[in-house]
Amino acid sequence: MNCKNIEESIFLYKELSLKERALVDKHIIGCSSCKELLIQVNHQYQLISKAAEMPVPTGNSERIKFRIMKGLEPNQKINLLDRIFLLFEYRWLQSAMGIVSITLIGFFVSEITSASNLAFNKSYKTDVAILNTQRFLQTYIKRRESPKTISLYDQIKNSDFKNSKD
Amino acid sequence: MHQQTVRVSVEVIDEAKAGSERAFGVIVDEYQTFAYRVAFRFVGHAAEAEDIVQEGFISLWKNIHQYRTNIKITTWLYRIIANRSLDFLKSSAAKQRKNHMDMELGYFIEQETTPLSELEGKELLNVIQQAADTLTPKQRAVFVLRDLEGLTVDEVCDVLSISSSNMKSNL
Repeated sequence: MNCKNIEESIFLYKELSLKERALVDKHIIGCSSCKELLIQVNHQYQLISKAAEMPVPTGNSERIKFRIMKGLEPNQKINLLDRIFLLFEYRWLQSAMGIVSITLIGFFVSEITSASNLAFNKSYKTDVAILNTQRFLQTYIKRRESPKTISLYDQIKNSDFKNSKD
Repeated sequence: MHQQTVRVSVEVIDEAKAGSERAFGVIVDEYQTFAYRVAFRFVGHAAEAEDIVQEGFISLWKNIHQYRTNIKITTWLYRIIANRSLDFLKSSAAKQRKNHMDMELGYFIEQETTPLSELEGKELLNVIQQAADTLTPKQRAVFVLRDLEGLTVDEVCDVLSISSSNMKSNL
Protein backbone atom coordinates (compact mmCIF):
# COMPACT_ATOMS: atom_id res chain seq x y z
CA MET A 1 0.00 0.00 0.00
CA ASN A 2 1.32 3.46 -0.82
CA CYS A 3 1.24 6.53 1.39
CA LYS A 4 -1.82 8.01 -0.33
CA ASN A 5 -3.94 4.97 0.54
CA ILE A 6 -2.55 4.86 4.06
CA GLU A 7 -3.38 8.52 4.66
CA GLU A 8 -7.09 7.90 4.29
CA SER A 9 -6.87 4.89 6.56
CA ILE A 10 -5.02 6.96 9.17
CA PHE A 11 -7.92 9.42 9.39
CA LEU A 12 -10.33 6.50 9.80
CA TYR A 13 -7.98 4.54 12.09
CA LYS A 14 -10.41 4.15 14.96
CA GLU A 15 -13.01 2.58 12.66
CA LEU A 16 -10.69 0.17 10.87
CA SER A 17 -10.90 -3.57 11.35
CA LEU A 18 -8.01 -5.36 13.05
CA LYS A 19 -6.76 -6.56 9.68
CA GLU A 20 -6.83 -3.06 8.21
CA ARG A 21 -5.09 -1.61 11.25
CA ALA A 22 -2.39 -4.25 10.93
CA LEU A 23 -1.75 -3.08 7.37
CA VAL A 24 -1.36 0.51 8.53
CA ASP A 25 0.87 -0.49 11.43
CA LYS A 26 3.04 -2.50 9.10
CA HIS A 27 3.39 0.44 6.72
CA ILE A 28 4.34 3.03 9.33
CA ILE A 29 7.18 0.88 10.57
CA GLY A 30 9.08 1.81 7.45
CA CYS A 31 7.50 5.23 6.73
CA SER A 32 8.30 8.04 9.15
CA SER A 33 5.99 10.62 7.54
CA CYS A 34 2.94 8.38 7.84
CA LYS A 35 3.93 7.50 11.38
CA GLU A 36 4.13 11.20 12.23
CA LEU A 37 0.74 11.78 10.62
CA LEU A 38 -0.81 8.96 12.66
CA ILE A 39 0.57 10.43 15.87
CA GLN A 40 -0.81 13.88 14.99
CA VAL A 41 -4.21 12.52 14.03
CA ASN A 42 -4.46 10.49 17.24
CA HIS A 43 -3.51 13.53 19.28
CA GLN A 44 -6.07 15.60 17.41
CA TYR A 45 -8.81 13.07 18.11
CA GLN A 46 -7.87 13.02 21.78
CA LEU A 47 -8.31 16.79 21.96
CA ILE A 48 -11.60 16.66 20.07
CA SER A 49 -12.88 13.89 22.33
CA LYS A 50 -12.06 15.97 25.35
CA ALA A 51 -13.82 19.00 23.87
CA ALA A 52 -16.85 16.92 22.89
CA GLU A 53 -17.30 15.83 26.48
CA MET A 54 -17.65 19.41 27.63
CA PRO A 55 -21.26 20.38 28.31
CA VAL A 56 -22.88 22.30 25.50
CA PRO A 57 -25.25 25.17 26.35
CA THR A 58 -28.78 23.86 26.67
CA GLY A 59 -30.58 27.04 25.78
CA ASN A 60 -33.86 28.14 27.31
CA SER A 61 -35.75 24.85 27.03
CA GLU A 62 -39.08 26.29 28.20
CA ARG A 63 -38.98 29.05 25.65
CA ILE A 64 -37.98 26.66 22.89
CA LYS A 65 -40.80 24.26 23.76
CA PHE A 66 -43.30 27.15 23.90
CA ARG A 67 -42.25 28.27 20.44
CA ILE A 68 -42.48 24.73 19.09
CA MET A 69 -45.92 23.99 20.50
CA LYS A 70 -47.21 27.39 19.41
CA GLY A 71 -46.08 26.71 15.87
CA LEU A 72 -47.86 23.38 15.57
CA GLU A 73 -50.76 23.26 13.17
CA PRO A 74 -53.44 20.65 13.79
CA ASN A 75 -52.49 17.64 11.76
CA GLN A 76 -55.00 17.04 9.01
CA LYS A 77 -56.66 13.67 8.95
CA ILE A 78 -55.02 11.28 6.60
CA ASN A 79 -57.34 10.51 3.67
CA LEU A 80 -58.21 7.02 2.54
CA LEU A 81 -55.77 7.00 -0.37
CA ASP A 82 -52.86 7.99 1.88
CA ARG A 83 -53.84 5.29 4.36
CA ILE A 84 -53.73 2.71 1.58
CA PHE A 85 -50.31 3.93 0.46
CA LEU A 86 -49.09 3.88 4.04
CA LEU A 87 -50.07 0.20 4.29
CA PHE A 88 -47.56 -0.59 1.56
CA GLU A 89 -44.77 0.70 3.76
CA TYR A 90 -45.09 -2.28 6.06
CA ARG A 91 -42.27 -4.75 5.39
CA TRP A 92 -44.41 -7.84 5.83
CA LEU A 93 -46.85 -6.63 3.19
CA GLN A 94 -44.02 -5.79 0.80
CA SER A 95 -42.52 -9.25 1.29
CA ALA A 96 -45.87 -10.97 0.76
CA MET A 97 -46.52 -9.04 -2.43
CA GLY A 98 -43.04 -9.87 -3.65
CA ILE A 99 -43.62 -13.58 -3.09
CA VAL A 100 -47.00 -13.46 -4.85
CA SER A 101 -45.49 -11.59 -7.79
CA ILE A 102 -42.65 -14.07 -8.18
CA THR A 103 -45.09 -16.96 -7.96
CA LEU A 104 -47.32 -15.47 -10.65
CA ILE A 105 -44.37 -14.76 -12.92
CA GLY A 106 -43.16 -18.32 -12.50
CA PHE A 107 -46.63 -19.64 -13.27
CA PHE A 108 -46.96 -17.59 -16.45
CA VAL A 109 -43.48 -18.53 -17.62
CA SER A 110 -44.22 -22.20 -17.12
CA GLU A 111 -47.49 -21.84 -19.01
CA ILE A 112 -45.80 -20.13 -21.94
CA THR A 113 -43.04 -22.75 -21.98
CA SER A 114 -45.43 -25.68 -22.00
CA ALA A 115 -47.59 -24.09 -24.73
CA SER A 116 -44.58 -23.60 -27.01
CA ASN A 117 -43.54 -27.24 -26.40
CA LEU A 118 -47.05 -28.36 -27.36
CA ALA A 119 -46.91 -26.53 -30.69
CA PHE A 120 -43.56 -27.90 -31.76
CA ASN A 121 -43.74 -31.38 -30.29
CA LYS A 122 -44.19 -33.85 -33.13
CA SER A 123 -45.32 -36.65 -30.85
CA TYR A 124 -48.69 -34.98 -30.53
CA LYS A 125 -50.97 -35.82 -33.52
CA THR A 126 -53.12 -32.89 -34.45
CA ASP A 127 -56.00 -34.05 -36.54
CA VAL A 128 -57.24 -30.53 -36.74
CA ALA A 129 -54.21 -29.44 -38.75
CA ILE A 130 -54.80 -32.13 -41.43
CA LEU A 131 -58.25 -32.08 -43.02
CA ASN A 132 -59.24 -35.66 -43.79
CA THR A 133 -61.72 -35.00 -46.60
CA GLN A 134 -62.38 -38.68 -47.25
CA ARG A 135 -63.59 -39.20 -43.75
CA PHE A 136 -65.46 -35.92 -43.88
CA LEU A 137 -67.43 -36.86 -47.00
CA GLN A 138 -67.88 -40.51 -46.16
CA THR A 139 -71.38 -40.02 -44.90
CA TYR A 140 -72.50 -38.37 -48.13
CA ILE A 141 -70.82 -40.94 -50.33
CA LYS A 142 -72.65 -43.73 -48.54
CA ARG A 143 -75.94 -41.99 -48.96
CA ARG A 144 -75.42 -41.50 -52.67
CA GLU A 145 -74.45 -45.11 -53.26
CA SER A 146 -77.42 -46.41 -51.33
CA PRO A 147 -80.34 -47.32 -53.76
CA LYS A 148 -83.05 -46.78 -51.18
CA THR A 149 -82.45 -43.15 -50.64
CA ILE A 150 -82.79 -40.70 -53.41
CA SER A 151 -81.26 -37.37 -52.71
CA LEU A 152 -83.26 -34.26 -53.11
CA TYR A 153 -80.96 -33.19 -55.89
CA ASP A 154 -81.71 -36.39 -57.82
CA GLN A 155 -85.39 -35.93 -57.37
CA ILE A 156 -85.27 -32.44 -58.74
CA LYS A 157 -83.06 -33.51 -61.60
CA ASN A 158 -85.34 -36.40 -62.57
CA SER A 159 -88.47 -34.33 -62.46
CA ASP A 160 -86.92 -31.59 -64.57
CA PHE A 161 -85.78 -34.11 -67.14
CA LYS A 162 -89.24 -35.68 -67.45
CA ASN A 163 -90.87 -32.31 -67.79
CA SER A 164 -88.51 -31.24 -70.46
CA LYS A 165 -89.09 -34.42 -72.42
CA ASP A 166 -92.82 -33.91 -72.40
CA MET B 1 -18.45 10.95 23.35
CA HIS B 2 -21.55 9.47 21.76
CA GLN B 3 -24.30 10.74 23.97
CA GLN B 4 -26.72 8.18 25.38
CA THR B 5 -29.80 8.05 23.20
CA VAL B 6 -33.15 8.70 24.82
CA ARG B 7 -36.28 6.82 23.96
CA VAL B 8 -39.98 7.34 24.17
CA SER B 9 -42.49 4.52 24.20
CA VAL B 10 -44.13 3.31 21.03
CA GLU B 11 -47.52 4.26 22.48
CA VAL B 12 -46.49 7.90 22.79
CA ILE B 13 -45.26 7.91 19.20
CA ASP B 14 -48.50 6.33 18.00
CA GLU B 15 -50.50 8.94 19.85
CA ALA B 16 -48.44 11.70 18.29
CA LYS B 17 -48.98 10.16 14.86
CA ALA B 18 -52.69 10.18 15.58
CA GLY B 19 -52.49 13.94 16.13
CA SER B 20 -52.04 14.24 19.88
CA GLU B 21 -50.15 17.43 20.65
CA ARG B 22 -49.78 16.29 24.25
CA ALA B 23 -47.90 13.19 23.12
CA PHE B 24 -45.77 15.27 20.78
CA GLY B 25 -44.95 17.49 23.72
CA VAL B 26 -43.53 14.45 25.48
CA ILE B 27 -41.32 13.79 22.45
CA VAL B 28 -40.19 17.44 22.48
CA ASP B 29 -39.31 17.18 26.17
CA GLU B 30 -37.25 14.05 25.56
CA TYR B 31 -35.32 15.14 22.49
CA GLN B 32 -35.14 18.91 22.73
CA THR B 33 -31.81 18.99 24.55
CA PHE B 34 -30.31 16.54 22.10
CA ALA B 35 -31.54 18.56 19.10
CA TYR B 36 -30.30 21.83 20.55
CA ARG B 37 -26.86 20.35 21.23
CA VAL B 38 -26.52 19.15 17.64
CA ALA B 39 -27.78 22.45 16.22
CA PHE B 40 -25.47 24.48 18.45
CA ARG B 41 -22.50 22.39 17.44
CA PHE B 42 -23.34 23.11 13.83
CA VAL B 43 -23.97 26.83 13.96
CA GLY B 44 -22.24 27.88 17.21
CA HIS B 45 -24.86 30.50 18.00
CA ALA B 46 -27.75 30.19 20.49
CA ALA B 47 -30.39 32.19 18.60
CA GLU B 48 -29.82 30.31 15.34
CA ALA B 49 -29.73 27.02 17.19
CA GLU B 50 -33.13 27.80 18.77
CA ASP B 51 -34.61 28.65 15.38
CA ILE B 52 -33.26 25.46 13.86
CA VAL B 53 -34.61 23.34 16.71
CA GLN B 54 -38.04 25.00 16.43
CA GLU B 55 -38.21 24.47 12.68
CA GLY B 56 -36.90 20.94 13.06
CA PHE B 57 -39.59 19.85 15.50
CA ILE B 58 -42.34 21.53 13.50
CA SER B 59 -41.10 19.64 10.46
CA LEU B 60 -41.10 16.45 12.53
CA TRP B 61 -44.73 17.14 13.56
CA LYS B 62 -45.84 17.62 9.96
CA ASN B 63 -44.23 14.38 8.83
CA ILE B 64 -44.70 12.24 11.91
CA HIS B 65 -47.37 10.13 10.23
CA GLN B 66 -44.61 8.78 7.96
CA TYR B 67 -42.44 7.74 10.90
CA ARG B 68 -41.70 4.01 11.25
CA THR B 69 -40.43 2.56 14.51
CA ASN B 70 -37.63 0.66 12.75
CA ILE B 71 -35.78 3.98 12.48
CA LYS B 72 -34.59 5.77 15.58
CA ILE B 73 -36.09 9.19 16.23
CA THR B 74 -32.56 10.43 16.88
CA THR B 75 -31.61 9.43 13.33
CA TRP B 76 -34.60 11.33 11.99
CA LEU B 77 -33.73 14.35 14.08
CA TYR B 78 -30.09 14.20 13.05
CA ARG B 79 -31.20 14.42 9.42
CA ILE B 80 -33.64 17.26 10.00
CA ILE B 81 -31.28 19.30 12.18
CA ALA B 82 -28.29 18.65 9.91
CA ASN B 83 -30.17 19.69 6.78
CA ARG B 84 -31.53 22.86 8.35
CA SER B 85 -28.15 23.71 9.83
CA LEU B 86 -26.48 23.22 6.46
CA ASP B 87 -29.09 25.46 4.85
CA PHE B 88 -28.31 28.12 7.41
CA LEU B 89 -24.55 27.76 7.04
CA LYS B 90 -24.87 28.18 3.26
CA SER B 91 -27.12 31.21 3.61
CA SER B 92 -26.03 34.80 3.45
CA ALA B 93 -27.05 35.36 7.08
CA ALA B 94 -24.41 32.91 8.24
CA LYS B 95 -21.76 34.58 6.13
CA GLN B 96 -22.61 37.98 7.58
CA ARG B 97 -22.52 36.66 11.12
CA LYS B 98 -19.08 35.18 10.53
CA ASN B 99 -17.67 38.62 10.10
CA HIS B 100 -18.63 39.56 13.64
CA MET B 101 -17.12 38.30 16.84
CA ASP B 102 -19.14 35.41 18.14
CA MET B 103 -20.36 36.67 21.48
CA GLU B 104 -21.58 33.19 22.34
CA LEU B 105 -18.07 32.36 23.44
CA GLY B 106 -18.77 34.63 26.39
CA TYR B 107 -21.14 31.93 27.59
CA PHE B 108 -18.15 30.17 29.05
CA ILE B 109 -17.66 32.67 31.82
CA GLU B 110 -14.77 31.97 34.05
CA GLN B 111 -15.54 31.82 37.71
CA GLU B 112 -13.16 31.83 40.58
CA THR B 113 -14.28 28.40 41.70
CA THR B 114 -14.06 26.83 38.23
CA PRO B 115 -11.51 24.02 38.18
CA LEU B 116 -8.50 24.55 35.98
CA SER B 117 -9.20 21.46 33.91
CA GLU B 118 -12.70 22.71 33.19
CA LEU B 119 -11.36 26.08 32.09
CA GLU B 120 -8.86 24.38 29.82
CA GLY B 121 -11.60 22.23 28.37
CA LYS B 122 -13.81 25.22 27.65
CA GLU B 123 -10.93 27.08 26.09
CA LEU B 124 -10.23 24.04 23.97
CA LEU B 125 -13.88 23.96 22.91
CA ASN B 126 -13.70 27.61 21.92
CA VAL B 127 -10.60 26.97 19.85
CA ILE B 128 -12.19 24.01 18.14
CA GLN B 129 -15.37 25.98 17.50
CA GLN B 130 -13.34 28.75 15.88
CA ALA B 131 -11.42 26.22 13.79
CA ALA B 132 -14.70 24.64 12.69
CA ASP B 133 -15.86 28.05 11.45
CA THR B 134 -13.21 27.85 8.74
CA LEU B 135 -14.63 24.62 7.31
CA THR B 136 -17.08 24.39 4.43
CA PRO B 137 -20.67 23.53 5.43
CA LYS B 138 -20.28 19.91 4.38
CA GLN B 139 -16.91 19.50 6.08
CA ARG B 140 -18.39 21.01 9.21
CA ALA B 141 -21.33 18.62 9.05
CA VAL B 142 -18.97 15.63 8.83
CA PHE B 143 -16.84 17.01 11.67
CA VAL B 144 -19.81 17.64 13.98
CA LEU B 145 -21.51 14.33 13.31
CA ARG B 146 -18.46 12.10 13.29
CA ASP B 147 -16.01 13.73 15.64
CA LEU B 148 -18.25 15.55 18.11
CA GLU B 149 -21.37 13.41 18.04
CA GLY B 150 -19.48 10.15 17.59
CA LEU B 151 -21.41 8.69 14.69
CA THR B 152 -19.81 6.04 12.50
CA VAL B 153 -18.98 6.60 8.85
CA ASP B 154 -22.08 4.69 7.77
CA GLU B 155 -24.31 6.66 10.11
CA VAL B 156 -22.91 9.96 8.89
CA CYS B 157 -23.51 8.92 5.27
CA ASP B 158 -27.06 7.93 6.16
CA VAL B 159 -27.81 11.22 7.91
CA LEU B 160 -26.31 13.42 5.20
CA SER B 161 -27.41 11.18 2.31
CA ILE B 162 -23.93 11.10 0.82
CA SER B 163 -21.69 8.30 -0.35
CA SER B 164 -18.82 6.91 1.70
CA SER B 165 -16.23 8.31 -0.70
CA ASN B 166 -17.88 11.73 -0.60
CA MET B 167 -17.82 11.66 3.17
CA LYS B 168 -14.18 10.63 3.32
CA SER B 169 -13.23 13.48 1.00
CA ASN B 170 -14.70 15.86 3.58
CA LEU B 171 -12.75 14.51 6.54
